[in-house]
Amino acid sequence: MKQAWNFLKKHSILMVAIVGILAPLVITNTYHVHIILMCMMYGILASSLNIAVGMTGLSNLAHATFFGIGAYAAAILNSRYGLPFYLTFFAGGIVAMAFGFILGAPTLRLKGVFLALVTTGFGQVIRILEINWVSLTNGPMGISGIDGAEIGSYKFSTNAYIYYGLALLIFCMFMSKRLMHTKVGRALFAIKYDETVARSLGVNLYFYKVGAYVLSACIAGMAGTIFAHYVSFISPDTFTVADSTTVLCMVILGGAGSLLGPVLGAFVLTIAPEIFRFAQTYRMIFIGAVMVIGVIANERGWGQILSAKFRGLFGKKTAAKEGGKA
Amino acid sequence: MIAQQLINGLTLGVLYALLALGYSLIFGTLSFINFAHGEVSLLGAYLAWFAMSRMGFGIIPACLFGIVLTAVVGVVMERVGYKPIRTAPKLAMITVSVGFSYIVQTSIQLIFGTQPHEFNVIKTSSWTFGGITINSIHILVLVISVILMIGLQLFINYTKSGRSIRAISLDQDTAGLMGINVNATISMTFAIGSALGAVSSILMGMYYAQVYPMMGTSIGNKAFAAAVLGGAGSVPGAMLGGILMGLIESVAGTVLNAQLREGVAFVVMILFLIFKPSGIIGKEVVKD
Amino acid sequence: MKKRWIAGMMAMVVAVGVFAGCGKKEESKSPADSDTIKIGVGVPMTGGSAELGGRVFNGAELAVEEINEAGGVNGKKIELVAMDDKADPKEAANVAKLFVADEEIIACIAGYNSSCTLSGAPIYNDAGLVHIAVGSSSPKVSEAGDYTFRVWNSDIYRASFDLDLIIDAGYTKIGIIYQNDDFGQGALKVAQDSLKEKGIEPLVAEGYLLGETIDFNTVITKMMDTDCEAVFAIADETELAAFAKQCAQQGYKPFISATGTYNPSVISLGGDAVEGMVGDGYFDPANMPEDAKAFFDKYNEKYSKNGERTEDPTSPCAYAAIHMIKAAIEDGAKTREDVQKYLANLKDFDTVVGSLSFDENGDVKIPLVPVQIKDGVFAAYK
Repeated sequence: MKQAWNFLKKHSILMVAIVGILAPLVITNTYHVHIILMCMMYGILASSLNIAVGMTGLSNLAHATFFGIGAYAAAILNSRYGLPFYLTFFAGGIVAMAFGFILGAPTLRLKGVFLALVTTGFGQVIRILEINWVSLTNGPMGISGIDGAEIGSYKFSTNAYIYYGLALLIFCMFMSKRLMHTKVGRALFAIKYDETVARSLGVNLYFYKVGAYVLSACIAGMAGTIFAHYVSFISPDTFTVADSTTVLCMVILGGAGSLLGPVLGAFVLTIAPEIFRFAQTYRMIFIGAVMVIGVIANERGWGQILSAKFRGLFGKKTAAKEGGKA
Repeated sequence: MIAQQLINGLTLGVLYALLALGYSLIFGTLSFINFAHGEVSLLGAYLAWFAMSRMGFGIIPACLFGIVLTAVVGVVMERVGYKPIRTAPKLAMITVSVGFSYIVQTSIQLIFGTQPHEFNVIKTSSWTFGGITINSIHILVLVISVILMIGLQLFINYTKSGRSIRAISLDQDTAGLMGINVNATISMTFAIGSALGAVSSILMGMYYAQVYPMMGTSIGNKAFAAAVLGGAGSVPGAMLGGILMGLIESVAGTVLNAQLREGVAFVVMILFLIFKPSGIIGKEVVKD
Repeated sequence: MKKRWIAGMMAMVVAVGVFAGCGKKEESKSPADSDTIKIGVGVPMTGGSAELGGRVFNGAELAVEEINEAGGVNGKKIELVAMDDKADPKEAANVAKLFVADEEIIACIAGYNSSCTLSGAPIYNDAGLVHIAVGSSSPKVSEAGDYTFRVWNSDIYRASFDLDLIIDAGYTKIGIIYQNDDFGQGALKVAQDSLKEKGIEPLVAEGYLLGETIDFNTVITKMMDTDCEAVFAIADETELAAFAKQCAQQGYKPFISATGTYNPSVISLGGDAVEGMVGDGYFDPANMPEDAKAFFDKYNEKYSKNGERTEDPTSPCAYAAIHMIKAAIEDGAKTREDVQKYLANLKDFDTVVGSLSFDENGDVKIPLVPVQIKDGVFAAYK
C-alpha cells in the first residue's frame, strides 16, 4: 500500500496523463465526457493557482476572474476580429497575464488575509466592469456564437478539447515540478515559509512574487480561452467570485504546495457536485460540509506542529525544509 | 438633493457599520475574515421574521429571539469549525468560512423558502422639512445603532471581558499566559459579533421592508470592505468605515450611476489596501 | 494513517463518479421502447433565481401529475428528470450535456435565466433535443436555433406594452429603473428606442444588480430631484416591491408601470406602497378564464406554503409547455426530431395561458392585458 502510494506520488504527472488519455476513450456518454472536460479545466485552474497559493504562499481569491478574462479576450477577439483559436489561445494568456500584473504589482506587498481581500475586491470590480462595459463585453447579455476551435481544417471534437486541456494541465504540472526542484522554486517556497529569511538569503521577494502571480494568471487565462471556444457562449455570470473560492478550496483540500493534490482536489470537487445532483436543493449543504470537514480533517490530521506551514493530502517534505535549502 | 442623499447614506452606513463590527471583532481575535458573517447575520432577520409571523411573537421578543439564536449559531460555528484549526494558515479558515456560508445560505432557503418575505413591522410616518424627508425607520435605525455602538465601545474599554478581547487581539499567547480564558473570550467575540450582525439585518429588514435569502451575501461583502476601510480589527474603525462606506456609496450613486455604485465599495477597499492597509484607524499590518 | 484514509475517500468518490458513468451507459435505451417517457427540467433551484425556477418546476410537476393520473400518454407515464442549474451558465451547460446524453429524454424544459438558456442552446441544438425555455425573455433566444423554443414573451413585446401604459396616460417626465441583466438591458433598449420615437428623453435611467442591490434611495432621490412623474420599472417582484416601498418612505408617489407587477408577492411585500401600480398580466383578473382559474386553484392548494395565493404566469407557462410535449407524443412523435417537427408546426394550441402558436423562431406571443393594483388586489386597468 505504502509503496503504491509512493509510486503514485512520484509519478503523479504520468498518472494524470494516463487517466486523462484513457478516460475519454473508455467513457462515451457525452455528459460524462463533458464532466471530464470540466475536470480538466478546473484541474488547470487548481494547478496554476497552486503556483501562487501553494508554492509561494500568496492568497488569491480571484483566480476564476483570470479564467474569465482569458475567456473574454478570446471571445472578443474571435467574434469581433475573427481570430482563430490558436491565436486567441495565446492572446487570452497574455491579456490575463497583463491583468495579473496590474493586480499583483501594487498589491503583492500585502500579506495573507489582506491579499485575499484585495483579490476578492478585484474579482467583484472586474465582474461589475464586465456587466457595465456594454460596448466591449456586450454586458450581461454575454457573447454568444464564439467559433469552435479548429486547427487547419480539423474541427475540435469534445475529446480534442479534453486532450488540449490535458496537455495544458500536464504542462502546468510539469512546470510546477521543474520549478520545485530549481532555484526559483526553492526561492518561492522560501518566501512562503518566511519572507524575512528569504530576503536575507538574497531572494528578490517582489520579483518572484509578481512572477509567480503573473505565471499563474497566464495559465488560467489560457484555460479560459479553451473554455470559451468550447461552450461558445460566455457571460459575466460564468465567472463569479464563488468560482474563485471553489478553485481555492480545490487547492486547499487537495493540499497546497503539492503537485498532485490540487489536481485531485479539482477532480473531486468537480465530480462530487454532479454526483450530488440527485440531492437537488440540498446539494450546496453537502458541498459546504465537504469544505468544512475536509479542511478540518486535513489540518487536524497533521497535528499542531506543522501549524505554521501548510501540508495537505499529498504534502511532500515540509515547506520549512524546502525553504531552508534555498 | 445632496442633504437627502447624505441622510440615505448615513442610514445605510450605520447598517454597514453594525455588520462591519462583527467582521472587525472576529478579525481582531482570529486575524481572518469570516466570509460566513453576512449569511449568519441574515439568519437573525429570518428568525425574527419567523417568530413574528409564524409563532405570533411581539416585535421585541421576536427580535430578541432572533438575536440570541444567531449569537448561539455564531458560537457553535466557531466551536465546530474554527477552533480545531485556529493555529492553521488563515487560508484554511477562509475556506471553512466559505463552506459555512454555503451551508447557512442553503439552509435559509430550505427552511424559510426561497421567496422574499415581507418584514413590515412598524408603521412608518415621515416628516418633510426643507426638502429633506426623514421617516421613523431612519430614526429608529440611527438611534439603535448609535446606542449599540456606544455600548460596545464602553464594553470593550471598561469591562473585564472587553479588556480580555483587546488583550487577545494584541497577543493571543501572552493573553493566555496572563490568565485570560482564550477559548471563552473568542466564543464571546463570535457571540457579540453575530448578535450585532443580527441586529443589523433585522434593522435592514425593517428599513427595506423585506428579507430574502441573498441579502446577506451582498451586504456582507460591502460590510467587510467597510471594515477594511476603517481598519480591520479596530472597533471604532469599523464604525467609522461603515458610515463612510454608506456615504461614499450614496455620493457615488448620485454622481455616477446606480450600476457602477455596486463596485465603488470594492474600489475603495482595494485603494486602501494598496496605500494604507491598516485602514483609517487600525493596527499596523497584521501577522499572517 | 489519516492521510491515507482521506486519500482513500477521495479516490472512492472519483471512482464512484467514473463507474456511475460506465454503469449508466448500459441501461440507456431509445425513448420509444421504455415504459416511461422522460422529460428533463433544468431550472435554477438554488441560488439567486431559486424561487422563480422553482415555479417552473412546480408548474411542470403539476402537469405531469395530472397527466399520469389520467393514465399517461399513450399508456406510458411521464417522468420528470429535474436538474438544478443554479442560474449559472456553466451549470446550465452541464445540465444540457446531461439531458442530451440521457437518450431516454425525449424533450426538455430548460433555461430560466436567458444567459443559462443561451449557454445550453448550442448543446441542445447540436444534439437535436428540443428544449423549451420558460422565463427567458432575451431577444437573442429567438435566434438560438431550431431546437430552442420558448413559452414566454420576448422583451420587445412586453417592454413596449408596459411603456405604452405610461405614454398613453400622458406622462412625459419619465424615469427608468432596470434590472442590469440580459432581460433588463433588452427591455431598456426597446424602451429607449420607442421613447425616442415619441421625442421623450428619460430623465433618469439607472440599473441595479439582481439579488445584490437592495438600496434604491439614491435613485429615488435622483428621480424626485428631476421631478419624474412616472417610473418605468423593468424589475421583478422583490426589487419592485423594495423600490415602491422606499419611494413611499421618501414620500414620493410616481405613476409606476412595471414588468413584474402581476405577481401577488408584489402586493404582500409592498403593501400600501404599490397601490396604483400598473403592468402587464396574462389574464384579466376580474374575468379569468375557467381553466386558468382551475390551474391556479390546484397550484396553490399544492404548493402554497402559507396560504398566500400565487397567480404568477411562470408556472402556467411551464404547465403549457408540458402539455405541448404531451401533444407531440400523442401525435405519434417517437424520436427527438419528431417532437421538434411537431412543435415547429404547432398552431393555435389551446393552453391555460391562451391559444399559442410557435413562429419560425420558436417564439410565442402570449396576449397581454393591462392590470393595476387597486385596494390590495389586481384589477383590470382602464
